[in-house]
Amino acid sequence: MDLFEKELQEQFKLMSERKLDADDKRQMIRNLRQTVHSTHLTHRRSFNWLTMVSAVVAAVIVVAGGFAVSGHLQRNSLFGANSGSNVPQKTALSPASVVVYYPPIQSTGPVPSGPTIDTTINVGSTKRPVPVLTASRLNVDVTLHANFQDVTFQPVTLHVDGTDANDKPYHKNYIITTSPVHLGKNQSKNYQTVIDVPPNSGGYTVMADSPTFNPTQRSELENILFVNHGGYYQTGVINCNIRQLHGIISLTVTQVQMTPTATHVLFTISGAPGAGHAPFAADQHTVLQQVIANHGSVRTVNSALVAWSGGPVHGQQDTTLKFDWEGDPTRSNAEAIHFSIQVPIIINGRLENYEHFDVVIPVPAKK
Amino acid sequence: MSTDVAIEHLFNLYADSLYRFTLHSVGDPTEARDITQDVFYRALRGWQGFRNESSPKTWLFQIARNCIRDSFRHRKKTTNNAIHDHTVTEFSMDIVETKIWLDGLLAQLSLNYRQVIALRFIEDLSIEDTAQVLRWSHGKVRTTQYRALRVLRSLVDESRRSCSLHDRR
Repeated sequence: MDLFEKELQEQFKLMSERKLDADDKRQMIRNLRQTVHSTHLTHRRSFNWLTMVSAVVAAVIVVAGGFAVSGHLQRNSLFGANSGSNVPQKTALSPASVVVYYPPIQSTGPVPSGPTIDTTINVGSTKRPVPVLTASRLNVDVTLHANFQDVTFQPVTLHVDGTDANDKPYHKNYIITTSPVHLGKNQSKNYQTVIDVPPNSGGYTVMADSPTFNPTQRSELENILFVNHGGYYQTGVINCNIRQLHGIISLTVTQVQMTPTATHVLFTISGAPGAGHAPFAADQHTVLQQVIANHGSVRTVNSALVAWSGGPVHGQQDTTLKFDWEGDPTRSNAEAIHFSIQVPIIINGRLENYEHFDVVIPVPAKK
Repeated sequence: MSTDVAIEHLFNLYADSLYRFTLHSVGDPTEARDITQDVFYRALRGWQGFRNESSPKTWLFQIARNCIRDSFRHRKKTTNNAIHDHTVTEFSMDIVETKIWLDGLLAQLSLNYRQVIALRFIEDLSIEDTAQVLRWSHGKVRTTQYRALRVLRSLVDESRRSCSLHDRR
């Protein structure tokens, strides 16, 4: 091994210390346990079906495609428009598509066109019957699509409901993605999965949903004015408007006016849903993920305290801070979220004063 | 040991390794997390068929490799590239946060080279295990490793040259 390789080995050792985030790990374990409880046994049963059917019939596994539009069965794409028969014409696995839109497209609203598009029935989810007659495995394309605005899709799950050949209820969940998926306006992201269904049954409903399906949230703190009047500071108008509880919260702070010298603005988030006034850090369901500023630099002091430092500020400065924040939609005792902003005014290196005010973001009523 | 306990045990042992391997292959932390999760779903489903012909670690890496391959196939099919542009940026951020220099250079290698380096040097797998994971011959692993290191060396040299040039300026 030469010097180069030795040096690389050292670097690689450091790289091998990179690990999954502990929260991600916990979530993954939870998902695995959930999968074990909800799907594993049924999966094995369906696998046996597959094996049996393959062995006895030695038939080609045929998969249905061409889902119904507007929630009813449509077999034309699989069986051929004029076949007049239920015998499948295709032998390959045909992808089916389930599209999850945000904002949800109402049945009366515009239905977009395209090969993977279907009508949205439920808010934030699509539901469609699957014309499965002889299939036991089905490729499903799940497309997440943000129609009109930025959106965060929380874990996306595919539900398969129906009855098996013996008319027994059949239900299975497939977790498509566990991590939040952030999509910009008009962006899409596709996931593929293979689902198992017992063959020779009447059909299934496949529904993809995103239980904590969140729009982008915007809370605008406008026209915050800090005006020096001989050591006293006034606050301006705070206009807080947040529509939903979960998702990305953008705090837009404009016209920050500080004289003579202010070097730091501390944004403190002191409330959390269901956790009273405990800091976000105390609530494991709530993660302050990211802070972006368009002016100066930002550092996270801890998950509940964010400092913006743009150097000494004279006169008027505009800045925008975006907090990517994830809440817990399952908490029923959610309270208002409190954001407070402190502006320490440092003159000649000494903390002279700071302005402090609270911003209360009301929790919207649950739908 | 029941299936779920076994898989959870394997998760605790190998989730980080699989994540690193996946991350080096796909370049996107979010996608790497999803794939890592998917590996264990598949492992859960296939556990009954696992016949101990290889070590569980090698078996999981084989599943990971399949998941990565599926992911790349899917990328080719996907028409919307905006996300991928985004993921490149995300990966760049990750590079900044972690081992900027070497990570950046590794990202320039082909998938085969990245995978063989990740398995051999970062995850410390033997030639034999690497061959099992990648379903290659031992000879191919050795050759690919040699070539990957050669390319990496040239990238390192180039990078250092440009750095020293920059310093002189």
